[in-house]
Amino acid sequence: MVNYRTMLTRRHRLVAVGMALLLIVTLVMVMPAAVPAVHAQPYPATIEWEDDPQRANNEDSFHPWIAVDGNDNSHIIYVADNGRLRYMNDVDGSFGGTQELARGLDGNRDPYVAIDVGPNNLLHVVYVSVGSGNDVYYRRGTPDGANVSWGNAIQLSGGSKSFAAHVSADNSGDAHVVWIENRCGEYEVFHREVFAEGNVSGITSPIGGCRFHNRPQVTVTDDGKAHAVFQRDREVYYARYDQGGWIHQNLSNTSGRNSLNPTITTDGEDLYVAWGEGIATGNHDVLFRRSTDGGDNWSNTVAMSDGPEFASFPNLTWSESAQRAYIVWSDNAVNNREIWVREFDPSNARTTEADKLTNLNDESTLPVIAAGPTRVDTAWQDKVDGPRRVYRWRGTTEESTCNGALILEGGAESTRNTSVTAAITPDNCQPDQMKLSVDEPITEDTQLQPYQASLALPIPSDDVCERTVYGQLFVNGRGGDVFSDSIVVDPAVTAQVSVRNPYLPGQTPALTNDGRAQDGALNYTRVRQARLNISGSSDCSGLRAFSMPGISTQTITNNVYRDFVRLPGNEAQGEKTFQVTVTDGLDNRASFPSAGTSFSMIYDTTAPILDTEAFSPTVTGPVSATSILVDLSFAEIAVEDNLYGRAENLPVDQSFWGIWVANSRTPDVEDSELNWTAVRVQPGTSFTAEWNLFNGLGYGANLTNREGAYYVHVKFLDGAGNPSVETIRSEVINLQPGYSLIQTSLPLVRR
Amino acid sequence: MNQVISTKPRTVLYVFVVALFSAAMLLSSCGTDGAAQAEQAPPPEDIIPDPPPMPTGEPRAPTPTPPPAPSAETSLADASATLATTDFEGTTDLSTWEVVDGTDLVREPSIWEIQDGRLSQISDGDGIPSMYPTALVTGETDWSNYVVTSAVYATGNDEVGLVVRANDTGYYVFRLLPATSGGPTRILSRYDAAAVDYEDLATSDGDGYELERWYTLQVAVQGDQIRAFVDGELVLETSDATLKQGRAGVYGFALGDLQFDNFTVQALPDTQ
Repeated sequence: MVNYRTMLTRRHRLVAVGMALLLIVTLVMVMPAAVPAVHAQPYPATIEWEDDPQRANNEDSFHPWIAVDGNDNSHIIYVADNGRLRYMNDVDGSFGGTQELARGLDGNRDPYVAIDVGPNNLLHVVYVSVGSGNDVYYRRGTPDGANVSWGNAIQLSGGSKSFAAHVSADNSGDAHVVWIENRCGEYEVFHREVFAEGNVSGITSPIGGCRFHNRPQVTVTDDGKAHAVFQRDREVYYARYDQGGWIHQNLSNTSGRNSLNPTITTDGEDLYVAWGEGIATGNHDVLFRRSTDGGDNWSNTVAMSDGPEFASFPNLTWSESAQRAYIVWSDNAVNNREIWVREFDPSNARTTEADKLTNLNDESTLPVIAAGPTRVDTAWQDKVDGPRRVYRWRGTTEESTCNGALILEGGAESTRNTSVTAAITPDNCQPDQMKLSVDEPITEDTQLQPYQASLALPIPSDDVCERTVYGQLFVNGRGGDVFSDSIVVDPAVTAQVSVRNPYLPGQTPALTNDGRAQDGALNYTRVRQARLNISGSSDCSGLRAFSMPGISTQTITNNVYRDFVRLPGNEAQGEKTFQVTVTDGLDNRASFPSAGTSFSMIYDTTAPILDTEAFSPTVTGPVSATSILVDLSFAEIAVEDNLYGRAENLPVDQSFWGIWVANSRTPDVEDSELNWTAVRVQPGTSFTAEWNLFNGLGYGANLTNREGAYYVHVKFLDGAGNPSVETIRSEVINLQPGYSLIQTSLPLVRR
Repeated sequence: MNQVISTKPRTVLYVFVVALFSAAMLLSSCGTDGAAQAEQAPPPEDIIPDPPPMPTGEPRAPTPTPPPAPSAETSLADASATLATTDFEGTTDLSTWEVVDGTDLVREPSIWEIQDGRLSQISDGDGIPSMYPTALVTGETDWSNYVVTSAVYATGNDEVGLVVRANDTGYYVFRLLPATSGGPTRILSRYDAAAVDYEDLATSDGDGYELERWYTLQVAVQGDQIRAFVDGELVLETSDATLKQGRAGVYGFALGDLQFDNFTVQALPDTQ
């Protein structure tokens, strides 16, 4: 009986489990990833801050605003607790006296004054007479050293209660001023220009609708367009004066949260905006966007401060020299509410790590940052000693540079090529020029060339294996760090190859003594072998192997090969020509002695013949000798050989390479009992040679009391060391008592 | 029979799977960015990588709980009926209180809350610390002669104080400044609501307030006479006839870090 219930239940369970697994996979795929965002790697900052901040004044004061002029001097305005608007600068090196620009800014401590530096270092100040009319005023200052002549205050607002003025000077010296004014029952944003010649424009409103607005800021791009940001209700808006009217859009777009205190700056074209975002009670972030098309489109929103703590009051500036946007804000991410700073590099959209600039008692708030040619200064209010004071911290900016990396031949350690492919990769920047140098570090004299991502770089011939290429990238004439890569360049085999008579003295290993001369001409051999010497310690990749006719590839160890090789060809005597092919570690090949020539070894087993029939060859020494060194005179010498002498262009009867000499104390001694020594001589019918009578007699160190009779036996050698059968012997040579010794172990000291 | 029995589990399984699938699809349609969901804005072409995250410091020590506040005993012998009193225990209701900010540049009133049995100044209306005065008043607009007493405990802020005779035209305020202040630390002022301005009526250079310490502040208005007390000691006295009656309350800056407790208003006899 079949239990259908059981079968069906199992089947359904399996189906359900399978579908559940499928659903789980689906969920994993479609659910927003709940993993932490992958953050960019830390990016180096360009500001080098001075060791300590500087307290810039000594009175209760609020809301500082700072500008840095073209001479890197700081100009600060602030509101004293008594409602006076003060101005001070550090043109003389430090902040000294102050100038009073206005009174009656009391009423509350929320005045938001602003200062900017325009062309010719003219100062532009705006403020609101809070509590005494609440009108927006503009004053222009003309510096003369540390002293500033201030023009009259110009009222810009329309007569209704106003707050929160901000100013930005454009490249023409016109001052763009924005503020909020309560004309309709709510505070709206207004804009007005104070032209360089002193006239003022009409008042325009970037956005209407009679809604609550606050904290407008304005900047001007190089095309003369004014760009403003401001709080509108609970959002941050951007507006641009373009083609006779204002265009605006919501930048924060975070319905349900408070977006406020926006700030804006420009590099002349692109725009950078930040603002504070209320995430939750006690948790505010600083958010950031940029526009690379003049304000039409904006990037994604990123958080310059995203912790659970309170971050607020961002302020942006642009550094022309560093080509970066700097942002400061107040944050209690770590301990007290302190001033924090980051840098944004628009060339690669990277942001530096958040740097807690201050570490002071109590709260550091309302920071403002401004950049000069080589300075970035920030000012803020702080309660270090209780009352609020204005503090300033100076920083030095590094000029924007472009660094990179160089890779030769795709990262290979070595190459056979005489030119290498150099790949130059900028480190997230856009160089326009570069310098490259082979083996020599880059100097000012190194030639600039247009930037190329990849090029073939000729490597000059030199006795250097490892070649280093140095590179440096440039942006607008500013050079980055020098980088380099090295590679072993080995375009050819570098080796010394020789083929020698295997019986030459002093060679190891040596062939077994065959009873013939252990010397001879270099390119003769009496056995069908030769001694092959290969050395190549200067080869950049090292010698690897060799081959020659009749011999398959043999390994070369430690760049040296010294051994006997069998000569190619057959057993017939005569010349054996051949080449030796050597390969190195990079598989370079070379034929030795050269591509067009060959080694020549003469295989000669036949002894030379001393003509004793037609001639009476003699060797003659002194009858009486007072020294063991004697002169041997040869006469009527005629020697013929089957091979030796032809290539050497010797006369047929002078075809010998040298003599084979032995001493004896008795006249008649078998050749085999003598101890022969090969001596190279210049062939001739007659010649002389200097000879050591003790040579080969086995005296060792006992060289005294050896006076008496001596006989010298001579055979003649061909180039292969074959001795003549014939022997000539001298007459007796009487070595006299008291003979002198020579200070050499050589058998022959002079030929 | 067996087949009939097997149908129910299969149906349940199918329903379960369909429900699970529906839930999956529903969840998949939920993003983490509500605003983006709402507007369906096209994604930006310029994508900025996330900056490196903010560093974090050592875990913060929990904010120390203030010791119990001193009782609101008046030093005035002629104080009589209690007009209002609260120790802020067991409630978070501030519906009978009204925020009076010393600026009209606000989108929302400053934030005051009852936390842990104490009245706390939190921030301005946007949730950030702002340097303008804010008062929280209660009671009746026809109160004229009375003494208001409250304990105050500051862990920051710029000023602490009490408000009397608050009405549409303004109020009197006794302001106690931090001990580190450079100028007068005890100030009796009249706030002009129309001008959004404070006029000082009397000042003295006595001790200002220290952080993390309870003080008992007291302000008595009786006819034209205004007297201010700190811990039972008369520190300021002046007369002004501008404001005749109004509510009582507490005062500080919209900077937070300020708490009040044991708030009491007692009637004083008419001086005439």
